[in-house]
Amino acid sequence: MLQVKDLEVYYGHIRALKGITFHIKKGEIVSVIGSNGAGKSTTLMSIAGLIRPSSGSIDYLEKDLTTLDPYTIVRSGISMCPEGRRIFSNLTVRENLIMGAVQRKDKKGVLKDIDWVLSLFPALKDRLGQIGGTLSGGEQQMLAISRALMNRPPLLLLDEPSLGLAPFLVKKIFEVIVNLKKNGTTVLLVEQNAKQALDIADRGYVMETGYISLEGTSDYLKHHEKVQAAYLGG
Amino acid sequence: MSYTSYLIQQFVNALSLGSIYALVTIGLAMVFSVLRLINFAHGDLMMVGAYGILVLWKAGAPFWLAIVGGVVASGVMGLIMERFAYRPLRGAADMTTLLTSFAVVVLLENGAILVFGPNTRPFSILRFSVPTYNLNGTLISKIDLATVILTLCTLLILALFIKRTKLGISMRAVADDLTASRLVGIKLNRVMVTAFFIGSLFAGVAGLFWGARAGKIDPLMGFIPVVKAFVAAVIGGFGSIAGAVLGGYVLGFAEVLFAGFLPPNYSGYRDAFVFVLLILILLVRPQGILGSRTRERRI
Amino acid sequence: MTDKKPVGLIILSLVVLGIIVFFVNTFANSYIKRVANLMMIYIILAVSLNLLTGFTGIVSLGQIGFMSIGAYTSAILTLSPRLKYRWLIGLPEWLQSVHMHLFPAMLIGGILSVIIALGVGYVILRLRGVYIAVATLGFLVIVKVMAENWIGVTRGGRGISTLPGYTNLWWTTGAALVTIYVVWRLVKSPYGRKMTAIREHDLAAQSVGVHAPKIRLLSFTVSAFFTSIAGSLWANLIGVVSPGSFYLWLTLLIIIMMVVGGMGSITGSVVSVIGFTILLEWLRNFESRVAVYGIHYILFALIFMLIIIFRPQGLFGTREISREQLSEFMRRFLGRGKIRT
Repeated sequence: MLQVKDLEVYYGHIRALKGITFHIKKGEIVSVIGSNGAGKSTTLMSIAGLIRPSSGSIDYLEKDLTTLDPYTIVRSGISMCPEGRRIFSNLTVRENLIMGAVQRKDKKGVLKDIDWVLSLFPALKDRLGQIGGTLSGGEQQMLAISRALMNRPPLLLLDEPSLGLAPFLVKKIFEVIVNLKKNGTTVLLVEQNAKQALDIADRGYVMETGYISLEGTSDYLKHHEKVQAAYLGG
Repeated sequence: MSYTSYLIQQFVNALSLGSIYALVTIGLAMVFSVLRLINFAHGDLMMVGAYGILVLWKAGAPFWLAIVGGVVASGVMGLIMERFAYRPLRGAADMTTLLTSFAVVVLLENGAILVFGPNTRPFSILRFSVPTYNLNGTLISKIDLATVILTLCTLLILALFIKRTKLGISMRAVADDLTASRLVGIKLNRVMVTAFFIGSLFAGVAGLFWGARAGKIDPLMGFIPVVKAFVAAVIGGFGSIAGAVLGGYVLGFAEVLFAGFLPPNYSGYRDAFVFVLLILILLVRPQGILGSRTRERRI
Repeated sequence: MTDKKPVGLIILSLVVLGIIVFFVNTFANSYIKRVANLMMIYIILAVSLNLLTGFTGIVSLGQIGFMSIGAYTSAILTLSPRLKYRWLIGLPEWLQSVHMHLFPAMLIGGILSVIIALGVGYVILRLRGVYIAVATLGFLVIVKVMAENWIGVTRGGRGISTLPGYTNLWWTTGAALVTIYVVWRLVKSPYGRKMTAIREHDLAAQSVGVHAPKIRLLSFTVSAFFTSIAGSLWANLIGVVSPGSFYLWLTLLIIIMMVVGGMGSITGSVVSVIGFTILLEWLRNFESRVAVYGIHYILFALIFMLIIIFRPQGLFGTREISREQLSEFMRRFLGRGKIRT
């Protein structure tokens, strides 16, 4: 579904991505783990169209995304839930969700999907009229994911959804991700929380300072000594 | 004239002036919050609107058509401005767009001088045969009343627009977080152009009332209002629509109060007073009345 | 790494300049002299503004306010006492009887501007970005409003006329050279590095120990001083000061010249001013022939917009002309390869 080849990204003179190659098959959950600064967010942002890579290709369903702008990429069916949530803090929860569906023209469908998303995250149900900035961290994360889902994306990009959240919330969110996979959504999950990520993923990639150092099925990675030492506290 | 009469008259006066400032400031604030640029040529959009109205009316167009035509002319000029002066600079530093807006001011004002001549022209489209209502000796200017009522209607429509329509909510989203807006797939161009257009329309309406109030218009009429609009925006809380409206009215009242208490030979200092007020606000409460301390828009 | 100071070249250039000034001052007609003087004054204005905006990164829209202060001070001090008694009735007696020549008047204006700059700067310079721009614009407006309304001192909108024409090309060129020299030395000194540090990133600069408020105030004050000098020279050149002369158009003109030349390049400002002055005079001639006035405003604004879109760093960017470039230029222009450095 998604094929990234030899992707290179520069921030000024700094080479953030040094030519990475990976792929995602339809229906999979693929996890990218690695420590800070490894380039995981950069990768996601390049796919979403916020960053223009200097070389390499990103192919999604036969289309090269590297020349497209975010508007078109969202249109093609990729939604990203960025690092730090970035919900619209001056808009209400409902308005945030409406914005998630901004490209859709089917009003009734959007309303139905608001209900669907609220069924995934019932905690938001009572807060529809609340201003985004007043929500707690966990609620904001749920809102961010919901907003990304409002577009019914076949491919969902999640950037560190567990960051700064209490363990039970993290569990809840990962449950939702697994559910999404069951319903046919493909997920690319970037995480620092390696254990949880690998638990639900089919395959994974380990990134270090701009390149991919390891790849394989999640089982393989979970038991790999390097991964255990660096990320799993083994 | 009784003291209450005087107070009521000044109250209406301030309300009317505040309405005009609110209209101008909204456009300025809208453009700033969505496009992140200070458009000092915004005042000249007032001028364009006023001249547009004048031209149409003198050409024989009926009253309503002239007004609508003039306001639309402001809107169109705004679109041209956005497309050619500001869009090429998207992403540039705030200073760059600020300076460019001054260049646009020069262009528009001198263009107007070339076309219309530098002299003031009478602006009597809103002249009533009886200019005031008389309530027990209190004279209320009809122009003032029209200004206030029409402004409030316009504000209501705007409020509905930004709260209920997708485009309106998109504008608020872009003002809130630019990157997130791109991520959900908002078409930035469309939102930014809309914001500019609406802001320009508002400037056109403000031009109508400003001209009506003064009874005359001239090519340079837009400069002082836009600078005062900036002050109003800062007073109310820069970047927010509600702040713009509030700031506009506060400024209107402050100005009338100041003019009222000043001995007449100091009345020329009125414009300077506005700036002293601005500097005070910037030092004491830079976020304005409605703003919060950390109101930096997330890019 | 120190290059040998090209002392020979500098002295030679000064001598050449002196000769040119002498000839123009003595033989040229009054029109040419006026243009040359104005050009020098604009150079002072552009270079001072560049110090503040180009090098230190503070966008001030109010520097012309200091020009106004310098101009009015010089006007008040150099105007004949007889006229002062008649016109400037708001002045105290001792001030009315004063009758100074250009240099002391200039200096007093400069000192006054420095004092005001210190006060204004202390209050305003803590603001950021856009807010400084508008606050300084406020300063400009306040100065203008005061000039218009303090009739006893400034004669209000009518302005003060028949000022003695003390300004000549020696004064203006000298002042321009001094301005360039001072700003050059300032910029090349450690202060200059601190200025650019502040311009680039205020917070980062402070974290490495740059005392930003002090540097900003220094820039602001020096710029105000020379702008004021330019104002005094202007007053005694044109012979008339009025509030409207020191307002938006002049502000924008200097900004345009500075930006086109390159913010952060002294050479750029000088070259740009020369170019614009020539263009301005040519356009003014053209306008009077075609009887269409105001073209130069529009054209300059367009030039500015084009530059800012297509070449925002201006003609010179942040570079100064180097010795090699200068010799190359002179060699090609003068046709002889004799300049040895």
